Amino acid sequence: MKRTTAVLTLVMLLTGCATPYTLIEPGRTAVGDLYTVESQISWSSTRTGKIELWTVDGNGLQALRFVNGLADGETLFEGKRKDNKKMPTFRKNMTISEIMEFVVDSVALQGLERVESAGLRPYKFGNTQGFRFELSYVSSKGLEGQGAVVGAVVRERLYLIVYSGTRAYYYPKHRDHVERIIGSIRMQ
Amino acid sequence: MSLARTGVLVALLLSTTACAAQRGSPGALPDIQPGRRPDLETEEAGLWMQTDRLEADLKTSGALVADSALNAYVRNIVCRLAEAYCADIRIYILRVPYFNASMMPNGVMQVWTGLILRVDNEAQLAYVLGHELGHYLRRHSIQRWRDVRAKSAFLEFSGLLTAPTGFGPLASLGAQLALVGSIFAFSRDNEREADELGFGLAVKAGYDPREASKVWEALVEERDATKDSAPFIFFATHPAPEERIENLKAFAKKSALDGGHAIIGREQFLAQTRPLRTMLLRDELRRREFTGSQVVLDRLFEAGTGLGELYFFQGELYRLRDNEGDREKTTAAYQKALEYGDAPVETHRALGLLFFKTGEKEKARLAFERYLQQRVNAEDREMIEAYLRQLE
Ligand SMILES: [Zn+2]
Repeated sequence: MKRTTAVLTLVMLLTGCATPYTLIEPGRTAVGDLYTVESQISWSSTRTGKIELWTVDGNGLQALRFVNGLADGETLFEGKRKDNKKMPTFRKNMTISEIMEFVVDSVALQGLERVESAGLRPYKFGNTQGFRFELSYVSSKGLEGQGAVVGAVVRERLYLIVYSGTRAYYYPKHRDHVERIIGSIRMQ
Repeated sequence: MSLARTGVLVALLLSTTACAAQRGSPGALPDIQPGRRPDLETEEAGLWMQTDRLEADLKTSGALVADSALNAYVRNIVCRLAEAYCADIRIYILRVPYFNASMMPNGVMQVWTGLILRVDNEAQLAYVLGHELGHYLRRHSIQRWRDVRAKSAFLEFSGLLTAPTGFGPLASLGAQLALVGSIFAFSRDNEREADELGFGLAVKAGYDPREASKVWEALVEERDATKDSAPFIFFATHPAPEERIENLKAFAKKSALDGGHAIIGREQFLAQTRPLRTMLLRDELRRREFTGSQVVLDRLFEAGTGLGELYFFQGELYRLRDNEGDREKTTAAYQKALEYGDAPVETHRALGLLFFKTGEKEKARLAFERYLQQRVNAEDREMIEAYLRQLE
């Protein structure tokens, strides 16, 4: 698990932020404290709070987000609104259907339009029984996007893997790699 | 910052801003003329060029409501009000769950779906749109444009970028709105002028004058119920709603239009907007502004259309709010919804999930089974079947 720091100019340009990106090399990598995954390809990675983001082409085009252990009462994204009660909040007693609603509503409040979910179903998350559903949305500029969400609640904390990208090119481009990563989850 | 979103924002600023100059006072401009663009060498032409560019972003915005019947309906209302100016106005209905309508100086009119959810009938919508047309016809944005550029207020928007792991390019809409509101406020004179002109247009088009003040009264009620005024972009930029209500009531009393024969247009309005209401209510609850949304729901209950759907969303509000005692209220609201023929099929699923959580296995099983029976192609069938297996 080697990590070399590399700043991606492209990503910087896209986000306008000088966030340090770390190179994830092919092989097995720890994600948070709970599990490791194996990747066939290299990714650039950055982190904010409990979200670790991997991308190849830039996070505005495609992104693989790992949400590492949201606790009861926490929000998915940090709200700029001073009152977090107005952000969708994770509750440890949520049903899986409610967790999907929590994710969809959180994403919809991030400036994406027509955020819809489909195909909620049970899904293996490592050796744990988790869930999966698909996402579709339109960016504020009108570009269609697609996503897949795989997750599980482990010891009352919510773990998610969210893969998203533009529908026409960047989502399909690395979908197979992402499916393998999801299939490679091994609990630590 | 996303261009499209910036477009919406800046458009919003331009349209909801006001000039300090009163009609007839120094600096006031003559009304805009139908079919005419400003002369190229004027400052106004520069403003139009900017807003033309913003309009290009609006055209591809992911928030645009494509529904052609609804667009045609709103266009028809605007044309009845604007008459000779009709051809100069382009309407963009945006799926944003806040009360707002606005106009850019180049003839772009924005109508947010939060407004549509908050009016009872066509007359109320017409009076709001008439007010915005008033700002447009009087060219109120020109002077404000000068002020804004002079103060470089736009720079303050550069702080809106989210963390790079956030999903969208921008902070939440609520945060944006709060910021916009903190920078801009309308002048009373321009407001009064837009009210009077808009009122006149709507009366001339035959709309019942008594409906004019009702939208604002409802909005005041919602504002007062909500302690945090941040989402009220319209109030941030349109001060003194109480004064507006009084003015509009006074206009209505003086109006020659016979209320008995004037248009209210409840049926036409419902025919066009009812099919969208489920979506708009879902968007409304996404705001997690439960006290405000309760006021909106109460008004819809009062109007009395589609009670099954309304009780379902009442249950949704209680469930999401999750205050002390809300679980019982949620159950009661869902069960009430099912007494009406138009309760969404999702009501059964919602009840199933509730009973699933409380361990009322038999009730949960029945509700889930009803959901699957009534929604044969349920896209979450696999999940519901998994819940059912857990209940065994
Ligand atoms: Zn106004």
